[in-house]
Amino acid sequence: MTAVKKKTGLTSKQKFGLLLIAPSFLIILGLMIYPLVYSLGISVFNLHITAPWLGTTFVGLKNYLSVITDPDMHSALLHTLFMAAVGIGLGIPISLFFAIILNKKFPMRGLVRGILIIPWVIPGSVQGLLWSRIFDSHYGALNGILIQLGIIQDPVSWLLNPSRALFLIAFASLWGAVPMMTLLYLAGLQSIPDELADACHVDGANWGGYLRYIVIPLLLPITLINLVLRTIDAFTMFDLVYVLTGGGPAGATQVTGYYLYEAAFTKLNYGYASALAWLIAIAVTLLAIFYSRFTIKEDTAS
Amino acid sequence: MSINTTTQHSTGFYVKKIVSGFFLTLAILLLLFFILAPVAWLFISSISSQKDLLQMPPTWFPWPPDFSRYKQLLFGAAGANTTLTDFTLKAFRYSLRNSLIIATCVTFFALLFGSMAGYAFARIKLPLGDKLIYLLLITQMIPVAVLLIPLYIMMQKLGLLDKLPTVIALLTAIHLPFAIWMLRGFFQTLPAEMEEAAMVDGANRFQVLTRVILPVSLPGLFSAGAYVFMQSWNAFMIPLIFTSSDTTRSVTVAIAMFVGRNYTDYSLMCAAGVLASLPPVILAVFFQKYLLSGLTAGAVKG
Repeated sequence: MTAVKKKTGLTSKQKFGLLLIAPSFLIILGLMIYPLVYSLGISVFNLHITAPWLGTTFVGLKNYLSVITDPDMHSALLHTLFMAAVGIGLGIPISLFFAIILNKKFPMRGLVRGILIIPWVIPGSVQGLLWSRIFDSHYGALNGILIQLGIIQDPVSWLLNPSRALFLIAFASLWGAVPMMTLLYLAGLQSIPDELADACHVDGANWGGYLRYIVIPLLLPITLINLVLRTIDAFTMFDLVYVLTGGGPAGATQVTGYYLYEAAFTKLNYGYASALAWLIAIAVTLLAIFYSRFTIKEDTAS
Repeated sequence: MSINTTTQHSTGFYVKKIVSGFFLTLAILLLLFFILAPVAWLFISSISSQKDLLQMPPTWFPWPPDFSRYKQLLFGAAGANTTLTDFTLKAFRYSLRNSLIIATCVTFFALLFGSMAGYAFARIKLPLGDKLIYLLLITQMIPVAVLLIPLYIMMQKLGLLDKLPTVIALLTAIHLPFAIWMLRGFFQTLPAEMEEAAMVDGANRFQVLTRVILPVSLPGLFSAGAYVFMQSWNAFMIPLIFTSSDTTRSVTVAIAMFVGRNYTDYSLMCAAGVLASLPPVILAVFFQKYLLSGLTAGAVKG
């Protein structure tokens, strides 16, 4: 018995365990780890997709350099940062406000919470369809409301104007993200003991004081999580741009996620696109690390 | 004297309560408007007549509601005076079927392999077990965009493009790390004595898993399943890139095509959008608890 155990080094329980993880391990190895390594390879080699007889040539960091120096990429990056800024600047106050409401007791609160998560579960392309019906140049709901309120006289081509289109897509994307941001804040609010709010009242602080001295400082870690998630979302944003504008008008809504898709699957520039994908992945990871460090520091300081 | 002060105090108290109640109601209505107005417009458009939508301002509350588009999309043929063809309607029905197949299969495989591996990681001390867990965490953080190009080249070489099983395999791989992670956490909450008692009673390891562990794991499986089903039903980029014909397209991609082809039958387009949103919205409204425990476990997925 001991001899057998020594030979394989595994107990029967462990063998059973390895058998259980084998299918998952093979799937992850074949469809995630291998492509990940492959992707790194593609980014430093030229595959000559359109001229395969040329074979594969090593190009080193050339693809990375052309991404970094590409002016189209610079504007896509700026648009992405703008998306993130709108998501954070508008999304954080809106979702904090919603979370404070949902933390109060009122009849049918469970139902309202159920309704709250609807935007989060609607497929991205349907969200694109939905906003296309609202921002439509002729018969959109936004034009309808604004004309009825007398704010505008004639329909406005919302998505055909470069400076408006980017903001409107950022807003549409924010709508889909508010539920998750709100739920994160709500979980944070529920962890604040009621005594703190009572003590605040006794000390004569008003609602603004409660917000400023208790809610905002105590929820700072959650605010940082929301910052990370919005930034990651902005970097990987794709569905809404694909359906609503296709990066237009005149590249005004070109963002890194969509730019990557076009480079890879419209221009078939695999080397360039892989380098870009790696740079996005690195940026996202660095942001996550930066924010998480900051969060930990804040935690230990308080 | 003392009675007098009490009365004064309570009047002020009630006034304050009514005022704060008024503001709370206002805030709840604001929240509901923000969340529901865009969805409501999608639904109203789907039951409007062509005339209602092609005027400015549009008819906000069309009466009587016209549900004929739903019937047409699900069972009917294209009428004479639409820009649609029977072929488009058929393609939409195909896409609904495809999404149902994709989401069901991905959920099934993710739960099957995920619960096997999750159980092994939770209960059995495996060689390299800790390192494998880290590998799992890393794969969960990989942005899908990095994997797309190598996966596309791989599937092209294997002749597996434009096939539903390919889409199912890819989405299973993407959601598997999450499923393993979540189910491992769930299995860890179950008492180990249960299995030991069954083993003493003469059950083998496989029987312990299927007859003892599985029945009590239904809530955990349901949570992971609801989340994976929603995510794979809503998937857009993978089906968009890996399928190219009407018989393999997912419903999310079909919706994007509808918008892109500029059909002017907006009500039909919106009805298609409502149908495509129904499964995830039903999950959100009726199985909120399960979906949200999935959300908290999968929130960090980039």
